[in-house]
Amino acid sequence: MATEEQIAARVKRKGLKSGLSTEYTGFFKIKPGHAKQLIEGVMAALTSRGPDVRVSYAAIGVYDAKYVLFDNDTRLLLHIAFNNDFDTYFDDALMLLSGGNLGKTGASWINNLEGSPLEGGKGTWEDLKNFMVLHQVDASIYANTTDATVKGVQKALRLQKAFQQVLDNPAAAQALSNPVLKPLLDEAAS
Amino acid sequence: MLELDDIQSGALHGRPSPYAGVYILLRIDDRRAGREMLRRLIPALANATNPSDRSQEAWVSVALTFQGLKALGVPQDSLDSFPLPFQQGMAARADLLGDIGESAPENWEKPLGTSDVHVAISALSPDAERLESVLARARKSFQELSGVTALWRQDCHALPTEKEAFGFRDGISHPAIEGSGIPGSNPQEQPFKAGEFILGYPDETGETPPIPQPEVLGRNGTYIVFRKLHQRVAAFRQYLQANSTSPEAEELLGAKMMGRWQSGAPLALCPFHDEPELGADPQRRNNFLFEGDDPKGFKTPPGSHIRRMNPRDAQISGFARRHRMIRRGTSYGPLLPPGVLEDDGTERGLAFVFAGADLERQFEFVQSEWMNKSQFFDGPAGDKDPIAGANDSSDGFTIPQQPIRRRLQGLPAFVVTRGGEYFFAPGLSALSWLAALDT
Repeated sequence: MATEEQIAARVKRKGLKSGLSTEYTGFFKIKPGHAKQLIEGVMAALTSRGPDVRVSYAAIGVYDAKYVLFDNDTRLLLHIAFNNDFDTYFDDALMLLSGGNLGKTGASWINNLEGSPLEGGKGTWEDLKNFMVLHQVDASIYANTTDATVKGVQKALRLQKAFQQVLDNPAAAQALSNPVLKPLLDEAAS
Repeated sequence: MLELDDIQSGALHGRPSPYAGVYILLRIDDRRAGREMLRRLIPALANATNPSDRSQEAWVSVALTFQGLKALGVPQDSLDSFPLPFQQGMAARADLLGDIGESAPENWEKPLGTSDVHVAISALSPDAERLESVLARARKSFQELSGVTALWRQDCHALPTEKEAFGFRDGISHPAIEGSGIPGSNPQEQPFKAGEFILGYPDETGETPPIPQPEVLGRNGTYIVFRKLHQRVAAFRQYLQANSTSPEAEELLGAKMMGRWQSGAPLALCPFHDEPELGADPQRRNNFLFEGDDPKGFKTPPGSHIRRMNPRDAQISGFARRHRMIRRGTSYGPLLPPGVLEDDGTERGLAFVFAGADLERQFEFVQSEWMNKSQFFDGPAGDKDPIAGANDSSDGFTIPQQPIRRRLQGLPAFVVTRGGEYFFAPGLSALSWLAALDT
């Protein structure tokens, strides 16, 4: 069960917001010699729902995520930017990070970190949540320029592709001259 | 193995149809009197064994707020083990829940949202006569007991038509729960791990989440959300009429907003016209998914009420199965007669009840992310549930259709929160533990 300190930390730390985007940044100590297992374990969790990591991340509204080993592979920087509020989607995000399989193979990568709450097959979802939050450091400056959700970006790209297909047709100029389509015509010149 | 004989029936049990019910709220001024009330009440409570036994169609349930647990003298370390949203109570979570403006706690019907609400007793029965006898049993627990005061009573009912105030069949969807013996309403939905709804059991992650301590207090309990929601039926009818060219178009527009026709027949299975036989058939009316057949929502709009409240397999941000809830709507107040378009000033609406293991991950998430936002399915920014959302006439609703989607503007709020509370419905052993406290 969460201590008051942990609850307070959870309430207070929400990561920085920029437009629709929220960032999570966490710093963790890696157990000596465990860097390789750590990265392999993360990949195993992320690909547990399919081979393309980007598809799994997009499903949870993540713009991008990075795992950086530093200080001679003794520490991990985890940075995730996502299009939802931090606390609200915490559980969903943890499902992804642990392959939805806490305490088993999916979350075993956590055990390569110092102070892992899942050591020896113990620990709960709540413990993992508290572990993540207690290692969180808010960014001092954070900017996301998309002003759209991940699904919104995907839809915009589909629309752009479709619009370009329309423009490739020689009849497009005449078709777009209808006053109703003026906003599209304004975008058609370049 | 679910300990059904220790779980209160009301937490898992479907309700009879039709039925009559009563919610009573009480305040405990003397902890000893509060414990005595529980002692008297426990024999009147039903457990969740034989959930399909129709002879168990009348029952009493009891649940406590955080303030109620304090008033009973529950030790501080035990109080501290309850999750933060429950400790704070619903009124403190108003912004997150969209309870603003007219729905804000300062406008709630008292005593809802105040620290006076300690205990809720509910009694349900197939008819008013049997309700009275069930209620009499419940009343004995607190009548003539100084130190426990009944503050508020709300009568409610489910009509034989099973329709709520807007005219739609209600109470259709129910998840299957492993080990409960209660079948789900959708054959295509995998049963849920019991820990999603009852404390002390593994949930969908395979883990058993922490529960309030001591174990005897938390185990076999569940959290209950109660909300009294006023429905503006005349405004709803006016909106449908103003945005339609014929009675048939009104019916279709209402169905697009709800995701079902008034009969309960889902657009997913009959997108063009109502099929009352389908709406009346519990075997068929909830037997559908969204993603394979209707990913873009040409049948059931992604922004419609039922697709928001239960996206099933639709592609959304996050994992829908982590946000499933047991929901039980109950009507209160008289129906507005058919065809009336002017508000008659009468209170009518839904006594909404949620049951689940996690207020934050289930009820609050659904309320804030699925009801009052549209990012999860990438709907237009600002759009909310067209039926139940906290709309303010600045938002709209999109109906996907070919060749061009229809966009409705200026949706007002058709539902206003009159008040609500977060409760904990303990298991029967937990109630005995509470009754035996000697702090």
